[in-house]
Amino acid sequence: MNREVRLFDEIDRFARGGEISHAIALTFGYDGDAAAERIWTPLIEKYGVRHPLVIASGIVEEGTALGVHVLRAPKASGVFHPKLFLAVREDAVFAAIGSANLTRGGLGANLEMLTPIVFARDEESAPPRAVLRDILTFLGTIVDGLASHAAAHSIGKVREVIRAAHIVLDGLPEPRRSSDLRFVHSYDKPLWEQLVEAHGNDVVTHVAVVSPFFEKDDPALEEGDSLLLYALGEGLPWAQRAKAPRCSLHVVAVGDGSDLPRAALESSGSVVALFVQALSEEPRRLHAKLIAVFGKKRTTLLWGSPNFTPAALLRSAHEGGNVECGLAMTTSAAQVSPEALSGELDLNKLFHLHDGPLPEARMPPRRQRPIFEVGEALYDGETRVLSIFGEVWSQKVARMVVLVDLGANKLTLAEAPLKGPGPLHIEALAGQLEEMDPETGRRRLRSLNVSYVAFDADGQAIAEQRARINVRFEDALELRGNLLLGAEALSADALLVPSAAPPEARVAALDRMISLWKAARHGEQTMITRHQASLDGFFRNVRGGLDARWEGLQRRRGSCFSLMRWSHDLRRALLAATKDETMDPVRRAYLVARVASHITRVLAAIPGWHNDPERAFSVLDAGELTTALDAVSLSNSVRPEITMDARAARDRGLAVLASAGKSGRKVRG
Amino acid sequence: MDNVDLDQLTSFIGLDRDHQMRAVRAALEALLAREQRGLVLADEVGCGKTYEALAITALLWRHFRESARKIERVLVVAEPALMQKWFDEIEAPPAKDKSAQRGFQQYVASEEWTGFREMLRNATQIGHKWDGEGSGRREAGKFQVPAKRVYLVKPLLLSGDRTGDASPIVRWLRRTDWDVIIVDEAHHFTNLKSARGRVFFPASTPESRDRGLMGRFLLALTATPFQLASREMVNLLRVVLAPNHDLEQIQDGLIKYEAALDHFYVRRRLAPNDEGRRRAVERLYGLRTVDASGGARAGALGLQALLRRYLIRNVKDARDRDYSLTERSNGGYERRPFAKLDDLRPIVKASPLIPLEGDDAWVYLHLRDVLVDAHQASKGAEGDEKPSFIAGDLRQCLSSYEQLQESAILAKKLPRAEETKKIVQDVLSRGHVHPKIAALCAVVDGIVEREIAMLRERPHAGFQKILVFNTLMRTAGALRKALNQTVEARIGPFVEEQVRAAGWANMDDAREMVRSALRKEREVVREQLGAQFEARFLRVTRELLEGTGLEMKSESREVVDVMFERAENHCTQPLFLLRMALWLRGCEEQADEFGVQTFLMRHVGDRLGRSLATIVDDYLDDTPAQGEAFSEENQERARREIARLARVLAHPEYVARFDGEQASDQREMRRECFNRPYAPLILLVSKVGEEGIDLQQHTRYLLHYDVEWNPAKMEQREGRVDREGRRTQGAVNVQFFLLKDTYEERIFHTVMQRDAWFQVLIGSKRQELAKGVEDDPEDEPKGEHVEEENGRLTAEERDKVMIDLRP
Repeated sequence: MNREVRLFDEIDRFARGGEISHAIALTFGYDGDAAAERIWTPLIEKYGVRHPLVIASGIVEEGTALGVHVLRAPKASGVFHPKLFLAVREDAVFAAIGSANLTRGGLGANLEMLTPIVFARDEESAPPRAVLRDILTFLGTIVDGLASHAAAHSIGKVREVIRAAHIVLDGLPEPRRSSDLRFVHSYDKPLWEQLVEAHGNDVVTHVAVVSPFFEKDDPALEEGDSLLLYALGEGLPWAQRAKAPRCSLHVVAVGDGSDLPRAALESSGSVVALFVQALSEEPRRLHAKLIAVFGKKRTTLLWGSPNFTPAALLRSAHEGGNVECGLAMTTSAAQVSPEALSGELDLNKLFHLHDGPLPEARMPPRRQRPIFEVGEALYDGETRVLSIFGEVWSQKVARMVVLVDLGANKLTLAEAPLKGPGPLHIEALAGQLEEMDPETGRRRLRSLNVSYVAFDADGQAIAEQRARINVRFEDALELRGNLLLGAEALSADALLVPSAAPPEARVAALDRMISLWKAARHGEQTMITRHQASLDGFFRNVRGGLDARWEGLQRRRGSCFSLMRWSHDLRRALLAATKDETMDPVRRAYLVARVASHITRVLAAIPGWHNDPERAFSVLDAGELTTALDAVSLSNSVRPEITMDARAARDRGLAVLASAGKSGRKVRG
Repeated sequence: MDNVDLDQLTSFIGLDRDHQMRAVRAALEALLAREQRGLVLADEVGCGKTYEALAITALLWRHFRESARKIERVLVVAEPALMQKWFDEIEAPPAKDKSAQRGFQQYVASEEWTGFREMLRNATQIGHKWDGEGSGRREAGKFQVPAKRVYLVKPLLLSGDRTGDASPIVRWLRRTDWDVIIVDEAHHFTNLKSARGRVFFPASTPESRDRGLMGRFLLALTATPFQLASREMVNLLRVVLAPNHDLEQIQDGLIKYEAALDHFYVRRRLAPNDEGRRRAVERLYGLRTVDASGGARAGALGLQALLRRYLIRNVKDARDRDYSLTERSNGGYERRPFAKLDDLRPIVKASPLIPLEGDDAWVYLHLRDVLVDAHQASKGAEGDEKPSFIAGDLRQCLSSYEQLQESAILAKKLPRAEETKKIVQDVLSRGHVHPKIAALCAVVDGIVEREIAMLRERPHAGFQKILVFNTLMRTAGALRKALNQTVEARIGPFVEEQVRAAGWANMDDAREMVRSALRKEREVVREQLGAQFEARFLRVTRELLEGTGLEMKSESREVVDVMFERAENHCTQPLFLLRMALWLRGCEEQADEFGVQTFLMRHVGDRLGRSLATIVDDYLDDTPAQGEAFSEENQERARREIARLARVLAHPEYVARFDGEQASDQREMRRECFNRPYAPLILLVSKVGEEGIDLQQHTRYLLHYDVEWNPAKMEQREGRVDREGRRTQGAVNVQFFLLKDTYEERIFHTVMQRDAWFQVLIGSKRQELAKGVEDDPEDEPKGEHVEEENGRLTAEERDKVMIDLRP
């Protein structure tokens, strides 16, 4: 808590200068501009992260970074409250779990607790594999819940991250000696229950709590619904002679604006000691959350997203509780005594014992059920269709209007009748979202912000939500500013080079291209698309790209992760070639022939790299690669012999893919 | 020497051009008033450096002729390919009639120059044929070559690589105290590591200059004082024995100036009034005019002043050349004009150039793969196989399939090499024409068509010829074949049409009339010669004709028969008939025997008669002091002159090659014929012909089939045509052939980029550089135009940074 953990520095260390292939963040509240500035832009530009994903709830400001894909978690039941950051690179996964959201506060202004963990073969103090396994299971459950709330494409992106991390996990050995660290979440069981289970039957002598938020006084609640009272009573196996104070509560402040359960505090009296941060030397506002259970023999710690509230700790998400996650650890009492913990976290410096009166009782505001919610609006630059996903809860909603927010005026994009509660799904042709960029002459998005207004049967607007649209693109690097660069920026042949070029270079290349467009526009000259630009460039991209990939695979002896990435990259290149109608047929034939023989070569090498080649075959998506390779049309506009040569090479490639696919399925089956 | 009257001295000789005389005067000032040992004549190509050098030599001779140290031994170091040219310039006697001027002797025709003319007449090529047996002369304690002669020598004889087997003359050559050494194409000698470099730097170090070839005066001739790096220029100044303290300053100054140029180059996109750009220009200006050391050395001179001591450079008006790229348009090919100092990238990018598509792209991609394979294989193998020179192999592919087929890379044992070779063979067997050959043929066809149209309008105009530069031999063969067909198809019918229009029934009819007229002409000439000389001098022997390209069945015949037989063949070629037909039409003469006779007399007979008379008069009928009837040297001279005549009277095809694959006399024949109005119309020239030779007389079109990396070489190529003595009208059309999207674009940009900066550094093309700003009308809307101009030098900037070496 006192030792500052900066998220980007940790990822930076984790990356080791290499490429980070995937990144996803879960957060409650999201400040897109702050996150882009501190995390995403450096990750994209320095480590080539493609399509970082955010699943958020609460106050979400997506910001202007179009390359970041923001999904909203459903608000239906409890609050979506986890804070988790996951990044994947070649054969390693990074996870950061704690209290920090991707908000200005979470990224620096608040006092947070954040635990970075690296899962890698050569990591010295590696945590148990189960931690990663449980994180991935947790993420999987979240994705399942997104089904009606986000586009299948976006959900697929999240699943890709999980899959990549799984491939890393599969290759990790169980560390010989590791701590008793566990990842916990609130989906199946209340966190409190898991905490108690972890602590076991060892009698409890003291509980220390750090939390910025607490349960509120609510006369409607039963006494058992007070977490504080529950914790002091039957919630824990208290030692008979546990001394007072049994519980030390570390809070932000006592007084106006701080929500403390006056009723529970009054009834527990001197059993609870109250420590406040407000007047300490620490200027940052407390946002960290920690529960420490001190027993005779053991100490059990739980930290992460949950505040000290019943919704976070006492109920599972299925029972209407929050979605929370965190880390739990049990050690011997000697190892972590109250004093040790206090010293370790500087609790005695950050907090001061509160001696004064208790705060006024405050009634919690009634939580209103939302009328509707949009989880994601995804714009497809190719089809120019805007797909809106979400859920309607209120009977009153009869009609929904989608407006482009152009600041001063609003433009109606779509209007749809709705029939009460249920999933919300609207598709609309939304070419109006685009305009020509006067500087480059390219397509760009006019506005990122879209408003959704729900009307009742009488035509009265009853609810409004504003959200930024996501853009469906395969590569975040293709988006600069609001420009929809798409396939024209990174065409099939160009896609084959990235492994040779560092992300900075690719970003720089895009910037160069944009400035070329600007210059061309300035000079009113026609720009030649990349395919026509240079046969030499095309050759270097294809040959250099394939050679670099082959060398990369050899260096890593065809590790499963590298094979997965390899397959992914080839598919993208082939897909781009399929889509690019301007591509010269000779170049296309050449590309197909060379990629096919490259595939043949790689698949032939796999048995030499792996004792268990089936597993390797299973990760490379032979089926999808087959589809991609087969989809590139070999036109007859060139001499038939050329097409024949390319076809023959492709057929050889497809044949080896077919047999690889078979042995891969055995494993998956 | 302080009181040399240069005005008086230079008044003794009158070269045709003022700029030549200015150079001569500046040179003499350096050599006689400033007492320098030598200097570089660095005129741009085609300004007449050869005559400048000879005039300087002549005036030195004149100046010292009364003194104890006379000018008696002159050495010309020239490339083998240029030997003939030098002989022609030096040796040819002053012509009797003004219209047929040629050779330097015309400028020293008066009595006062007799001694010097004697030296010129005694021009001697040192080589295996003449070993100078018995002619060595002991002087200054060592054997030297005989005095009062001009010697010509190939550089490699001097480099000392073959000391062991050198003939006595070569040994004397090295020991001789030369009065004047003229080094032609002197830039070849600046690379110290090369064989030529060792002529002046025997140990390949700058210090070894002391032990290299020395002379009392050294004149280095080059149009391109540096090729790629300015330090070559410093070595050039070492060759002409510039003193070390000056060399140091110049070297330092050049380094600083180049650095400052780079500095400026980085800022060229800034507005001209930008502070940073202005400072860069001021810095250049300071280095150029005030202090080359940039303040590091007290009392130093500006770089321009330092260089001017040793380098004189006449520059030409760049408007004499029209540049263009070949680009495909509506199924044909058109010219896209450009100016050399334009920002060429957008132009090249926007132009379709010559597209490389379909099969051609397929071959190109395969070949690139093979090259990478070969490179990887050589990296992997421990063996001593060296990585292949990728650029070279690629250029073969871009040149022609005939060339590529023979390429070493396809013979390698690599899987893709075989595959690629098969593709290439397949392409060839299907008769697929390489896109560049197709483009060249189309362009040439267009030119021929235009020329024909012009001849229809102005029958006397004459055909303006085409020079094609191409470096690869197999390609040359393919080009010759393809172009011959193209030209034949276009010009054959035209000739026939004109021949008929003139009044003959057909070509054979015209030929028959020419033959009979020639027979009459032969008798006229025979009579004239018979009246002038004794019969025994008119007979030539088989021995004498050896090596002249003439055959003789019997042991001895009259020279007149030998030549007229030759002329018969020459005068029945289509282009001769065409010219004759056009001439007849133009003069409204009848196509009868009289008309033909008149034409032949004017265009062949008279001149041939004069030439034969000169040969007999000057050489065969010579009576040397020793009393020998025909001295070896005179015979050699006669042989050369006969050979020249024979060459002129040859009958080559429309398209001829000038490259290393022919014997040098064949090459010479083609060169001379190209400089005359008949075939060949097109000369395909390889590297052999890139330098020194004259090809300008009837040439208007210069086609770069491929591009050299070195801008100096490109300049040399263009200098073959853009030079003194060109008879064609209008600017020379220089056209580039670049294949779209390939390696060639890169070569082109590199060359043009280098060229632009060299021009600043050594001050060429002032006119072109200066135009731009003042050509713009004041009220033209600014904006994009200004942007474009930013990248270039403004007129004021040019004035500030260009190094001016004009005499």
